[in-house]
Amino acid sequence: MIEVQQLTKRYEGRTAVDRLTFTVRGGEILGLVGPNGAGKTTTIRAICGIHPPTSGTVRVAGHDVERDSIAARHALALIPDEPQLFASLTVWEHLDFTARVYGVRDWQPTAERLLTELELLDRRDSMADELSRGMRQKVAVASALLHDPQALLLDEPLTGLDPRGIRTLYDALRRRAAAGAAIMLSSHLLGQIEGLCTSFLVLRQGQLLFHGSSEELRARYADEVGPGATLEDIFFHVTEGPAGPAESAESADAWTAGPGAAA
Amino acid sequence: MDGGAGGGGVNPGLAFLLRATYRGVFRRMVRRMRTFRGFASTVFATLFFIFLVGSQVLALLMERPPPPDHDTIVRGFSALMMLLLVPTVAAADAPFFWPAEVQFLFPAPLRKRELLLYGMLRNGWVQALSGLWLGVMGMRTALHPAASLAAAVLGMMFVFVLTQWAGLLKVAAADRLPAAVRKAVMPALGVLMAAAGFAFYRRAQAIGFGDAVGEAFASGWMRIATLPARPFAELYAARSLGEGLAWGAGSVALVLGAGLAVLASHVDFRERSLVSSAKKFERMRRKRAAQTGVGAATGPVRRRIPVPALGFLGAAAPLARRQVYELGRGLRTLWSLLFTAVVAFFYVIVMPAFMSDRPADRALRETLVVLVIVFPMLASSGFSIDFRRDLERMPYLRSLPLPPRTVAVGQVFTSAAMIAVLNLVLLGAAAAVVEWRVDPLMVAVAAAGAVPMAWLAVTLENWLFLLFPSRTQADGGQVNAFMGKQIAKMSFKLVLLAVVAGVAGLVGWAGSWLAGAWGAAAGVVLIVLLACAGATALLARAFRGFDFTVDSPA
Repeated sequence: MIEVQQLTKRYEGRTAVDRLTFTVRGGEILGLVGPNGAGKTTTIRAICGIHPPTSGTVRVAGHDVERDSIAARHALALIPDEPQLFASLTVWEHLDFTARVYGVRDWQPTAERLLTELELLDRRDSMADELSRGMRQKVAVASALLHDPQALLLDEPLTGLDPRGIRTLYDALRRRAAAGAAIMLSSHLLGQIEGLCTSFLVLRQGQLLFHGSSEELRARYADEVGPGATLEDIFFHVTEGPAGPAESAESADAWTAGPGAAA
Repeated sequence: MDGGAGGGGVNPGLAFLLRATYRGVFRRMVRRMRTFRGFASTVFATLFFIFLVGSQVLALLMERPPPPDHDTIVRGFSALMMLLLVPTVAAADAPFFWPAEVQFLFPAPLRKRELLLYGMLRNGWVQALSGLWLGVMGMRTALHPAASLAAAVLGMMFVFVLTQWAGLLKVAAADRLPAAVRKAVMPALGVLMAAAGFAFYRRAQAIGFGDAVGEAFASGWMRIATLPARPFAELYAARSLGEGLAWGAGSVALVLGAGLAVLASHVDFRERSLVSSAKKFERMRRKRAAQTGVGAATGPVRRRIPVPALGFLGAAAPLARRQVYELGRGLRTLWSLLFTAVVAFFYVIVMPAFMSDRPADRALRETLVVLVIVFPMLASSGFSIDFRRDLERMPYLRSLPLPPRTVAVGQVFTSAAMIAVLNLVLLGAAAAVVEWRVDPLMVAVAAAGAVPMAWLAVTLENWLFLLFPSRTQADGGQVNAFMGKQIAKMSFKLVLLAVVAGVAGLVGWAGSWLAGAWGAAAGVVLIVLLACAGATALLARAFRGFDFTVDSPA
């Protein structure tokens, strides 16, 4: 479970994330959406403990990311948008390395299963610089899933994946969620994540505009964009509409308690 | 709790990563040697390395001039080390991590202390190798060769570890000091340096440059300023085994002490490391892709410059104009070119004039020709508004409906033209420095050769680049191969230019025998022009044969 309370992050006078409060429960797949510069990556990195918050708290699996950092990191995994691998390591060595860092025992069967699912088993002895971008992304996914994280964070994970890769990733995420993991992914491809995510969190200029399920999102804006509107239409309406941050914050207050709380 | 404390030793995962990285370097080298090109470049680089080291060792064995006295060595080594230490520490930033390390290690359950230790161990062997290299080069000036090696290795490691510590202190200061104070630090240091420089200048005017340098080295403040480097300098100048062991132990203690200071710091560097490392990696990637020490235009378009139509280039004109626009995206590239021009001018014209007994009476002759050869040689390596900057655009360039030769001409024209123009300016400046006491024939030869020499140098540089392209990996792979490749390329270019110069000289000699001095000049220019045409054809062929699925993997 991921719990974010009043998270604020400022850089040199600029507020990247402003008093963000939300929870991702086990089994939930949260879509973090917003235009460029909305604060999505900052939020994800703050949850990982890479960006220390200016104020507020973040807890992962019950552990405070700042005060109990090691335990919190043991429980989470991050899949970034640009897969950067160690060129000197083979695919298998990446998994070996990950298992050692996270202290995973008897990791080999899990690693073989992940590589099979991600169609990488025949490339297990290839070095990273021999792989295509999509394959490198799959290695990053396999490495992230190896230690069975309770919280999984994905920053634009679909970039570079082929349709089969996307479907494989979705299946893996659904299985992880069904096993009780809290999953949070940011993406610009709203049409593609619409069917995957169980809830959405919309950010603009570091402020929370909406947090709830897709049904709640549609219900909330049905009057303004029409009942047949796609998620993309609603996204544009919410993030490019006339509502300023202050007004948005008011409307967001009702949603900060989590999906279902403000239907 | 992760406060940088707790958890001794290297994390098992990080230890595995270090081992695998070292192993991977050799594995990649073996893999590279499976192709003829990779085999040839590795063999060439190895031979070149053996030649450089062997020449030092042979010189040490055959002729051993008496080394300077102990105090002179100590003062010289201390000053050199401080020259390296001060700017490195001043420019120190949060510890650098490669993108792959940021991706895998930053979100992982690793303590800051483990990350710092890993970073130091990962870079330790690079520092040790650099130190070994410097030690080999300096063996002849030390009292004992082994002391030279030990002092250089330990000195380099000390500089590296101290820089890490300085970077952490900077991060801590940035978190605590107000922005106004932080911004005032560097200008204040600059003013102090300028004041010191001015004081030295005044002193040099009064007692002469050499005496002023000697006085500065012997002064009390210099002894205090160079105190951190003293143990390493004493080790370098050790006169006996006992002295070497004692100073060696002191040097090791200093390196370990600085290392412990790094590990004991409680600074949360990860956020700043992430940002500064990403910026540094991007700069590095651009520089290495462009094979340049300063990088090509990196920023957004800030100014529009009027660009001539360059119609005389025909279908190649749009490509050449695009490169000119790239120049307008930042002045840094041009500044670097001007810097290279100043360096070439200083070494070829100014320094020999200063060292000559009667510079004013001497007319410039062959030196002018040397200048128009040396400057393009140096400049073409760093000024890369051509194929070298366009590695990522190779598929686009290959898709253009233009013959390879046209693309080649369009791509290299801007670089060559800029270098040629500066070459002519330098020639004029050289003549002006000696108040126009120049040999007319040599001026004519140099001026006629300035443009083709620039073309030849840039074209050869691009040809070698298309044959041996290089990239920077997310974990720093190819960094060391890159340096070796640069040295090998420069040597190869020198050999090629020497061959051209040799043939031109022979033809010039024949020309002078047939038609006097002007016949010689015509012969030389003809050969250089033929070489230019040949180099352009080679470049076009290399471009046509460039397989970006292999040479520029996705």
